[in-house]
Amino acid sequence: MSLFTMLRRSSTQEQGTGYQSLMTLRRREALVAYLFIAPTFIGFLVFIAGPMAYSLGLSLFEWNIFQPPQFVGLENYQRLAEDTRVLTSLRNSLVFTLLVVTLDVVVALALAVALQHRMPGLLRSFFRTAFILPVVTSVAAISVILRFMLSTNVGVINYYLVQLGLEKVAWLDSTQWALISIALATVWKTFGFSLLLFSAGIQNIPSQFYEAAEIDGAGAWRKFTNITLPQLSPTILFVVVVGIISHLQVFDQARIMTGGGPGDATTTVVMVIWDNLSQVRYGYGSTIAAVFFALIMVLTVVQFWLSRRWVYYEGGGQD
Amino acid sequence: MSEHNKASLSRRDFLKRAAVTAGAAATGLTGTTASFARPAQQDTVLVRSMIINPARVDAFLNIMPNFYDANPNVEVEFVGIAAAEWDEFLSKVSVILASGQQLDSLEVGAEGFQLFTSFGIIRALDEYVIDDPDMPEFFSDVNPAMIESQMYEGSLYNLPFLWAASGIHYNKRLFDQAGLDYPTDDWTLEDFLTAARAISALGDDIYGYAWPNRQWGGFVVWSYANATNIVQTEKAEGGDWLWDKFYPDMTEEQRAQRNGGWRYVATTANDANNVEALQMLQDLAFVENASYMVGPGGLPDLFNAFTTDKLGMMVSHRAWNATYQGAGMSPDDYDVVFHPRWKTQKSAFGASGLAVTTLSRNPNEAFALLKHLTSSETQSVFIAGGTHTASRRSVTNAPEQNEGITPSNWRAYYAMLDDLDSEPVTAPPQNRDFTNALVKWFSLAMSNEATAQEALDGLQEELTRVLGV
Repeated sequence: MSLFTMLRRSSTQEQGTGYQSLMTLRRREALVAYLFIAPTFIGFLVFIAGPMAYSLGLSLFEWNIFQPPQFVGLENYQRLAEDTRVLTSLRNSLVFTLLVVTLDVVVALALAVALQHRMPGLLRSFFRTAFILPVVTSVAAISVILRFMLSTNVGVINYYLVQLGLEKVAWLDSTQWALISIALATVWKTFGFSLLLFSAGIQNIPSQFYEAAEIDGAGAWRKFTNITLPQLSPTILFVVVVGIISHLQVFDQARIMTGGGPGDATTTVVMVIWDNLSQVRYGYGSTIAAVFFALIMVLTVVQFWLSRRWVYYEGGGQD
Repeated sequence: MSEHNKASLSRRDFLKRAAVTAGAAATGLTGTTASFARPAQQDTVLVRSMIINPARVDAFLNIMPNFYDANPNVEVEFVGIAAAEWDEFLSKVSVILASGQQLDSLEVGAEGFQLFTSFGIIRALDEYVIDDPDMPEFFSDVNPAMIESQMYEGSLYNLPFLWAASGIHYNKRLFDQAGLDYPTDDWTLEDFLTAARAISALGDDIYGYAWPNRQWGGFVVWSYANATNIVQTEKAEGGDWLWDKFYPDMTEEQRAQRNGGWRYVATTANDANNVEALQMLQDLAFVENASYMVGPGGLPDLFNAFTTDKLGMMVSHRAWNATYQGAGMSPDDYDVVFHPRWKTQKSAFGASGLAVTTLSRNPNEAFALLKHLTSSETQSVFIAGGTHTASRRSVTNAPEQNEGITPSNWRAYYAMLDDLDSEPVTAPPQNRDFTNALVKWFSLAMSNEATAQEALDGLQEELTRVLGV
């Protein structure tokens, strides 16, 4: 008997009470709903949750692939606590993320507000396209081009700096500038997406708020701080949370533009994980990944907790 | 039932049809996957070989017709693995090996040789080689140092197919502009420094020399030139079976140099000669503004500078002839020369071949494939157009492989091995850790944020820890 035949018969059987019919209907609807989400859920289990659980288990072992795994308990975690390279990479990742997310929000918000001003539609479309183009461009391609442009000795940026009578800057070849250079390149690549979100958010703000503010004599800055910012706060929260999660896991730009150098100045946590896996230290690499995952989760929870103080949700004040 | 329900597709029908369609699609896909993995005929043996860079698959397929004529029951599948550097290739291959996929042979270069041999991933070839009637002729056409670089603890693990030694490519146009004589193979460090300074004086954005911060082609060759090494080596015992059989005409002195492969026994990164070498490179960059270093993956940046007359000298590789000429240079615009003589004059070389894996289900056929790569005809076809350096001397030095293709001093490419006391590039089993440490400390030195002594002290400490020697 097919599943559907069974369902059809159960729905047409005489039921003792109307309540039983209702429950059967609900059960059927629930079953259909589960069937619809099953592909995504199974995919999540097989490709995300399963490997994560496996990796967590692997963090308790030493495994070089070519020989059987050896259980070492928490030794990998002890080793991580003393690994200066991991700690350095964690600091680099945090500094990078702070720079990128802050600049991303500021630049995207400023440009989103600017784009709301009266201007020819064609010009507005041009700007939006120009800002979104880096988002849809391959990060690897951008990194290769920028590595060449930012070359201390033969890069075009330094060429024009010298033409202007300025000194060359070791954009990627100094511990002072390398991380900042990668961060600026990342902001250029990603701010367009945040700008799209902010633009959509601003357009959803009821114009009556601004009209009322104008009647009360509010200037542009007051309107921005008292209307635009609070109304956009959920969107800002989204951009910040997603940005922190994403940029903490930076790898491509650092790997291509500097290889993690000079020294360890631009070595990130994901690069250290990758190095350990490349040297077939799968247990220790999994340990770093597990701790990093926990750190990101904690940061995310903290952000949501802090958001109660500054995020405004319509219809009920701050949530 | 309403008219609407009669006319439209019910939810139940939709789900039924969707399930049937999905099941049919899955069956179709399964059939496709299975046929991809299954040999075409029942008695055909499939040999799966992994090579670095998918773009090279066509070049390997191009040399297979003769192999298939001689081995009609063997089907070879070349799988190209995308990797910018050898250590990326190694990490991906490790995962494939661990997943249990069929892998009969894989391209092993100098950088991964000790990693794969020490873990028992590639198979010793002694029993295949010792009585093979074609091997004497092959060995007679290959420098014994290259053969020994494929040995580990007295056994032979690979037959070299391609290789490269580090010399210097120099830009003749810049030498002409600077009024310099072209260097000869017996040039010295002073000659090199003079040339670098003179070329840099041509303009603010023109440099005499640049080098990549990587394992082969990086600092190691300067370490060799100054009669030292980053990690001290000794020779493993054994190998008599090969030297006695295939190189019986070696002099006593030559024979004394050949044993069972190299071992890495002590880190010597911060010895006085290494500090002197790094100091020289720092002074050339920051005092004389005549040189610079590019980071990992920065070779294309050097090609750009070299071919646009912004760079006078860089490390040489025969494979880059095609790159220079693709960028508009002719073989008359540049040339190749030995690395300048300092306390010694030796090159750092690396060789690669399709080693047979210990996990191979078809080792005999995999060896047949490896042996096919050693034939003159195969190597001639593969390196045509200056695309690489063949392990066979006669192929690399053949007139048809060089006239109009390589620069005038093309004999230097193979002579770096025949005429110099060259050694394999330093490549311990912990290759990734070694490369990371190298890149890290030299990047600090060459960004002028550490003195040569500080950088090499740091490298010494780190390598001692990761290598355990």
